[in-house]
Amino acid sequence: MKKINIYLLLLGCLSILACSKDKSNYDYSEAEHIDIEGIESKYSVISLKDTLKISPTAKSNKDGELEYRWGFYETNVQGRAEPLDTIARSQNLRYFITEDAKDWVAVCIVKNKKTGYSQYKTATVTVSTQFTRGWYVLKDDGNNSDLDLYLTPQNNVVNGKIENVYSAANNQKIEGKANFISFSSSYKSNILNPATYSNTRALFLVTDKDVQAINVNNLKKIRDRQNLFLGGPQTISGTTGAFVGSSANYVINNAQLYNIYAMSANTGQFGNKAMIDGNNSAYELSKFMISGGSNDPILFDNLGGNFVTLGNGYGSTMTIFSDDKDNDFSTTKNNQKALFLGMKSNIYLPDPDYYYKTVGYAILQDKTDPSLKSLCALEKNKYVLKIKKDSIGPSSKLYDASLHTLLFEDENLLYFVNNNQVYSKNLSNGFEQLQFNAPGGEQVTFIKHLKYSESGYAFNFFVVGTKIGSNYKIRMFTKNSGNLDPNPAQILEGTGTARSLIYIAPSVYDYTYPWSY
Amino acid sequence: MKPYFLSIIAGIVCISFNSCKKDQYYIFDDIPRLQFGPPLSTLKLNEYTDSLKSETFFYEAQDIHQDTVYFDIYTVGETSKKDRKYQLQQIQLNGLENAIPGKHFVAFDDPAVANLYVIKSDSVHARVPIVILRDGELKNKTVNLGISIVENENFAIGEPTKSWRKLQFTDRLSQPNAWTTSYSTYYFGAYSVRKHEFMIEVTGKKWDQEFIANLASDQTSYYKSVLGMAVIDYNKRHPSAPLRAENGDLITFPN
Repeated sequence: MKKINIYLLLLGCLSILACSKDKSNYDYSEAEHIDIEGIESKYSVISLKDTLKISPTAKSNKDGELEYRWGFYETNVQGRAEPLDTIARSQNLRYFITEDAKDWVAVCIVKNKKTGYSQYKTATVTVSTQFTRGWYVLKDDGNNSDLDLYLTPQNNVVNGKIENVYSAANNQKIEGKANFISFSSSYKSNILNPATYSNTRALFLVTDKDVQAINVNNLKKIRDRQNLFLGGPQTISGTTGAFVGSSANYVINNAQLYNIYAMSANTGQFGNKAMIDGNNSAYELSKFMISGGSNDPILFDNLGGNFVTLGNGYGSTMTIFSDDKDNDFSTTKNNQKALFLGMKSNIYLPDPDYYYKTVGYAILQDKTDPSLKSLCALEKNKYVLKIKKDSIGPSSKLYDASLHTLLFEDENLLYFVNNNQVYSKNLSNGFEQLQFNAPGGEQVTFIKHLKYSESGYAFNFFVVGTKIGSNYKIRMFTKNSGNLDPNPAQILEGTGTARSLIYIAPSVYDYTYPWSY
Repeated sequence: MKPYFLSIIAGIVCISFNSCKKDQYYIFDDIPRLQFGPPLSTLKLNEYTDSLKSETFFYEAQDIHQDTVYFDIYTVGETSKKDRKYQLQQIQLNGLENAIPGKHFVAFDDPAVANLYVIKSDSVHARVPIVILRDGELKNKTVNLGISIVENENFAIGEPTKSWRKLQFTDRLSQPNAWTTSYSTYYFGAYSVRKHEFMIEVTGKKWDQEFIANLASDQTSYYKSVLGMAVIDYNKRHPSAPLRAENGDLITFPN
C-alpha cells in the first residue's frame, strides 16, 4: 500500500476518535440542595372537622425563586392505584380534611424555578373520624346486641361516650347475644368505589345469631349473614367467632371455619367451609383461637380432639398439627375438649428460622373422665405443636374457672375467674392469687388483657367486665409486677351486658393485637 | 493526488447523499382478502381465539329446533362503498363425525342464509352466522363442522392459518368453550360429561358457557371447594362405586 493511503487510513481513524463527545463534568461548584423546615413527621386530624395547617420555610443554596406544591396520597391501598393529588400550590398549607380515616401522606415539593431543582419532604397524616378512635364495647340486652363507643380524643383516658352507636348508624340492633369483636384492616369492600374491592378497615361483630362486618369510619354495616358468605344467606348458630390470621380473615360459624385469603382478589365474602382432612371428616371447632396477622391460627376441634390450622390463610383443607417428639398430649385424637386457648407470645425468629414462634396455653378436659383437666403449654413451630401438660388438681382455683385470659408478652401469668373472683396463676411456679373480687351483685362477664403502643395513647390494661342488673361496668386496671393495682385506672359504665371490647385508632391494623380470648 | 483516489472520495459523497433519502411508506396494494379472527373484544389478546367452538342444545327448551353460532371474519385491504358477499364451504374433517348439511346445519348456499354472508359497506368485520339444527340423533352424538373460506369475485383468501374454523355441537352436555386447559389445571380438573352433570346436580347451576365465563375468581374458588367436598362425600356414600368419568377415570377436583 502506498504511504499516502496509510496516512489517510490513520487520519480517518483519528478523525473518528476525535468526534467522541466529551462528557466530563467541569462544574466544580457546590451541588444545589433545598432545606425544608417546619414540617412535622406526623399530624393527627379529624375528618370533616379539622384543617391541616402547615407553614414550612425552604431555603436553597442557589439563586432563584422557590415554588411550592403540596400533594396528598393514601397508604395501605390494595386493589387500586391511588394517584398523588395536588391539594395546594402555596407555601403555607391550609387543607380542610375530608379524607377517610386512616394514615395518609402529605408531600411538600419545593422547586427552584431558576434551576429546576426540586426537593420534597413528607409527613404522615393520621385522619380520624369521631368513630375511629376509642373503646368499642360489644354488649347485648339478652336478645339483641349493640356497640357503645367511649371516646379518647386526647390520650387513653375516656372523655365522652356515644351509646348504642351501632343502632344509631344503622337504625337497628344486631340480632343475637354478643360474643366477640375483632378488627381487620385488610377486609375487602367496594364502599369507596362500587367498581373496585379494596382494603377497608372493618370491625367484625359476632353474636350467636349474626356475624357482621362494619365500616370503622362511619359504623355502617357492610355485610351481615345475609350476604357475608358466597353460598348465600347462612344461619348463624352454635360456636361463632371472627379473627385475622396469616393474611386471611376468618369466621367460625356453627363450629366450622370459613376464610377469605386477603391477598387475593375477593368481594369480602367468605368461601366454602374448610375441611378438616381429605376425607371431609366431621369436626366442631371450639370458639377459642390463638392467632395473629403474621401467623397461622391454632384452633381446637372438640369433636376429634385435634389441634388444627389453615396454612397460609388459604386452601380448602385444614392441617392437623404434627406432634413434637416429647409431647405429653397428642395433637390429634387426644380425647380432649378445649376449655380455653390463649396466646402468650408471638416472636419472630430470624435467620436461620424465619418464622414466628407462637407460645400459648390451653386448658383441656378429658372427654371420658371430665374430672381430669390439664393446663397445657403450647409452642408452635410451623406445623409442629409442642404440648407440655400440667394436671390441674380439684384444689386449684383454676379447676372450676369459667373465664380465662393470658397476659400477652407481659408477666408470665394466666388470669381466670372463679365464682366472680379474678385470680392470677403464675405459670412458672403455679402460685394462684386473688386479684379482684367483684362487688356484691356484680357478675363477671369477661376479662381481657389489652395493650397498645401508639405514642400519646399507649396503655397496658387488664380489663374486667361485670354485669349488675341490666347494666355493665368495665374496670381497666394497670398492673404492677403482674398484679392488678388496687383501683382501676378508669371505669366504663353503660346499659346491657358487656361481652367483649377493643380499642380502635387509625393506627390499629391487622398486626396490632393478637386475636385470642 | 491520484485520480482514482478522487473517484473514491466522489463515490463516498454520492453514497452519502443517497443514504439520506427518506424511506417511503409501504402501501397495501394487494387484492382484497378475507380471514377469520377473534371476537372484537379479544382482538388484542390472542389472534387465534375462537378457532374451535362448541355448542349444545342441552340447556334449551324442547321446542327450540335450531340455534345460531357466530364466528368473526375480517377483511384485509381497502374498504368498499358497497356490500361484498363472501363464500364459505364445509370441509370434511378426517376421523370425526362430520355434520350433514340440511340435517345438522343449514348449508351455506341455502337461500335462507346465503345472503347473510356479507361484509357491509365501509366495514372490515362481520359476524359469521352458522345455523345449526337440533336433529334427534344429536341426543347421542356430537358432530363436527369444518368451515373454510372460498375465494370469490370479492375476496381472495387471507392468511392460510386463519382461513378455517371448526364447530362441534350436540344435544348432550358438552365442554363449554370457557372450560379451557388452564381452567382444568387450576380449578375443575379434566372435563368429563359425568363431572359436568355432577357439578349441575350439586350446585343447581347450569355450568354453561355464560355461567363459567362470568364467574368471579372468588366464586370459582368457592365452587371448586364445594365440588371437591361433594365428590368426597359422594364416594363415602358409594364406597363400592365411586364417582367416575365416562372413560372410567375417578372424578377429582384439584386441591
